[in-house]
Amino acid sequence: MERVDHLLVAYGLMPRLAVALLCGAALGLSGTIFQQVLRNRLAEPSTLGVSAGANLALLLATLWYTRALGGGQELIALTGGALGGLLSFLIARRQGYSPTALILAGLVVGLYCGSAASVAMLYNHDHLANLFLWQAGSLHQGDWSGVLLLLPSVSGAWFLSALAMRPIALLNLGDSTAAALGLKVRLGRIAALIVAVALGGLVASVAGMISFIGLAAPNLVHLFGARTPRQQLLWSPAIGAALLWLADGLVQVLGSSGRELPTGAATALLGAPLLLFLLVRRGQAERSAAQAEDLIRSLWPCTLILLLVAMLLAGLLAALVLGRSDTGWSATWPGLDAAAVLQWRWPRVLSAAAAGSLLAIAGCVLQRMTGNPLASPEILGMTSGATLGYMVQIMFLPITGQGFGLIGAGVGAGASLYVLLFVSRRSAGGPDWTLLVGVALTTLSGALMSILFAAGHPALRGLMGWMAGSTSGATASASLLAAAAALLAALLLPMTVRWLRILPLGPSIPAAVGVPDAKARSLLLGFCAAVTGIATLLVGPMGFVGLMAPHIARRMGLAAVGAHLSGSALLGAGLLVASDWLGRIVIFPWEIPAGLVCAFVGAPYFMWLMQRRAR
Amino acid sequence: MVTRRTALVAMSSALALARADTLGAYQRHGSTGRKIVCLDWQGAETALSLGVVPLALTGKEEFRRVCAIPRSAEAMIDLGPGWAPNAELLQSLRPELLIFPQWPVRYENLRRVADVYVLRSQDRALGRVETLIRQLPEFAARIAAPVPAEAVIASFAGAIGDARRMLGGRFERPVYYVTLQPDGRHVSILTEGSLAQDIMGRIGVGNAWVGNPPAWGIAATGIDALAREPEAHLIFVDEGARSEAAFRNLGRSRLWRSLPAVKAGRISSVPQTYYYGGLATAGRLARAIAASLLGSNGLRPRQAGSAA
Repeated sequence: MERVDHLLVAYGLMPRLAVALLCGAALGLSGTIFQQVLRNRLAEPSTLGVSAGANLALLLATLWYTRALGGGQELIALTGGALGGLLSFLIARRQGYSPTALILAGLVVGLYCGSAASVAMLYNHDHLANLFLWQAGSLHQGDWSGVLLLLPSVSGAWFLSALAMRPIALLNLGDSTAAALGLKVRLGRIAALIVAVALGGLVASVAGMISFIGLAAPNLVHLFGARTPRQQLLWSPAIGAALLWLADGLVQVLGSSGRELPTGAATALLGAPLLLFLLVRRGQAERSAAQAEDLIRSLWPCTLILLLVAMLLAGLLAALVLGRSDTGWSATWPGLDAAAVLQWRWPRVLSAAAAGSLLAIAGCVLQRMTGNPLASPEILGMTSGATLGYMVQIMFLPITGQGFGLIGAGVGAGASLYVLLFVSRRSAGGPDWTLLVGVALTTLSGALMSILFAAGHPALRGLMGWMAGSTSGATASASLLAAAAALLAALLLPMTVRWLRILPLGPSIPAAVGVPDAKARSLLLGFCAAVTGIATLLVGPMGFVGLMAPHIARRMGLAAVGAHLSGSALLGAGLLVASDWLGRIVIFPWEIPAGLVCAFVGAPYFMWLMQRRAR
Repeated sequence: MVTRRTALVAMSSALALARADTLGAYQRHGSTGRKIVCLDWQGAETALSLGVVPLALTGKEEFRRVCAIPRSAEAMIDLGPGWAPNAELLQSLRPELLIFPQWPVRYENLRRVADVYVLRSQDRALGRVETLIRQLPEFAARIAAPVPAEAVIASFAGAIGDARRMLGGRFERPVYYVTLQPDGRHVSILTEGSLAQDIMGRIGVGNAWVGNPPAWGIAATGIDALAREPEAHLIFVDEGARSEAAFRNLGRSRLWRSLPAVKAGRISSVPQTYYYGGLATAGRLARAIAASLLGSNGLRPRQAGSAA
């Protein structure tokens, strides 16, 4: 059957090669534009909620509007991606499309779409195996249609960005400089971002979620020595194309021996170690991406905090006492607990409160220390490390009995902490580079996870609840341990306040006032990692609380470090307790994991806050 | 179709439903067998085939859709999702025995409610079907089943025998057993380690997949993998609208249209079954595969009214 072989080459291998090169180039170009225009090393094609929007649209279509898929998935994914991007722009509109506002808006949209996708998947698990492959990114082709879609648009976008070299370079200098040099800042930024967003959306529609290339290519190019926007725009598409081509080649070699893995996972497996290696070899001090936002500072922070304490206590009480059973609503008071339901409730409530405050503390410390609004516990790689450890344990080790449940997660979190501290000490770079290490770690373990998922292990269905942030499996002993950890963390917090006040001021000031810069950073990082690890063991790799609680606290007007920290912790605990309760009640006897409820309720609230405090 | 998703919106009505369910189960639950609760579908299906109606199980809606269940089982209470069974509801049912799957995740807490029996679904040394058969007598004894395990095993053997006879002992072509992805580019091929492969081996049908089998018997890959065995016959799992969308997209794919099996019309469907199902699923699968291969002259004979 020679003819079949010919067709395999002509309609399988060749278009696949072309798509790999085009997607890689598109991602590299898109990532460069994002990083230049938003002045943030962590920005990438998915930053504005584009991939998340595309993913969600495709997922919803797959589950409920399957008919629409028959018309080709590209259009659906593109529409979803465009809506995600549009929403981000709308949210950031009132704040003049400032880079910080755009990044935050994109992040919230991404989180929101991600949570919606998780919900859809949690409640439709018999179709799951299929979706994981797409989510992990796959370059399989059956004809040339993908190439025909990508070729004109990618080359067009590249041409456009070559024309717009000067505005993009100006935007990278900062708003005021760019404006002084005669650039219409908002218009320039929006136009550049639309091109970048379109590129990201196109790739997502053809190949799914190819992670990491858009982030890694510009950073690699930078580490290799390309400094001017011109060099970056020229080289990062090339590096991106080469990376993706290499990764896909690897995938095909493995696939021919029956060990296929998704290309998106392979890019991460390949790119993350490369990035880590380069960071260790030639890390360098970088200007921070921090840009102080003009936010209202509350005149009565103490009153606010007391109010938060009262709300948390009320929430704790309500979550413990009020519940639903098969005969309707019921209030169960401690001591009058005839049906013994409280033995199930209190570990959940306690672990939600403890985990919420721990994650919020970690997020707040990280955001303060790095001055990067994207900083959050999961970006350090600790949650992914814990997740990975847990998954490996469940799959390969027989000990799932009492007490052993969380050892794997602990080991995973510890290992990622070690890598993080090791690499960031060797690289002696600025705070942004430390975060980049965390991102590399996160992507790496995410890739391993998607490989395990694609294998279709029967335990994965159960794991998904934990990964979505359900507290349902929290044992009494684990929740007591977490509560103790939360108390300890709260006791340690006052010691960090001075460091957090001084560290963001820049590299020269801490030494002048007697703060050991590198040591303080390492200690704070270690603190955050430990705190995050403990929380993850209980409620899974939860995305929202650690990121948003500090932002919400800040926008409430809690500006001083101490007030910000305690406000975040209280908010985090309150948010998670309330979410856990809602998740238990709303669709009884079913459950919505607390992490998802939190994102669903918290994200719109946060969007509203961003709008309200705008000026 | 009333599903959990609707319930997300109309929670108040769900409350009323849950109440009616519970009362009904209490009244209708006969004296046969012990009061068991199943935390996954394999347990529920196996218990039902042994004549014991579980008090409750997780994921009832989807269980009803994917596994064929008798009318008597309608009274089972929905215990919520498999990834977070409702512990308070479970406790209020006062079960005597909990049936855990082989890979429970975060079920440690629930051991406080009642005794636990772990039903295995896979043992690498034994294979899927043999694992299911070996543990059946012990399981039947633990749940005090009115139907003897031997009867269930015999009816499975009967199904295999029927399927073998229908195919005349051996099917001449190797078979790819696949789920088509709606994007028209990807398929999941069932390989060694899957229930389908085990059944196919027993009814004299060879698997066209070659190479290292993936750990859990599912190879998620591109449609180009289907070109490796030109003589193969293609069985796809009919998932209703999803399969229709897949065929619309596949129709545009040059690679798909040039596959020998597609060109020659050697393609047929089977209805959806639970991937980690028990012996009842295995028996249905055997008959379905044989029927699909026999009636495979026309392209895509469709099951009427299959799940959307």
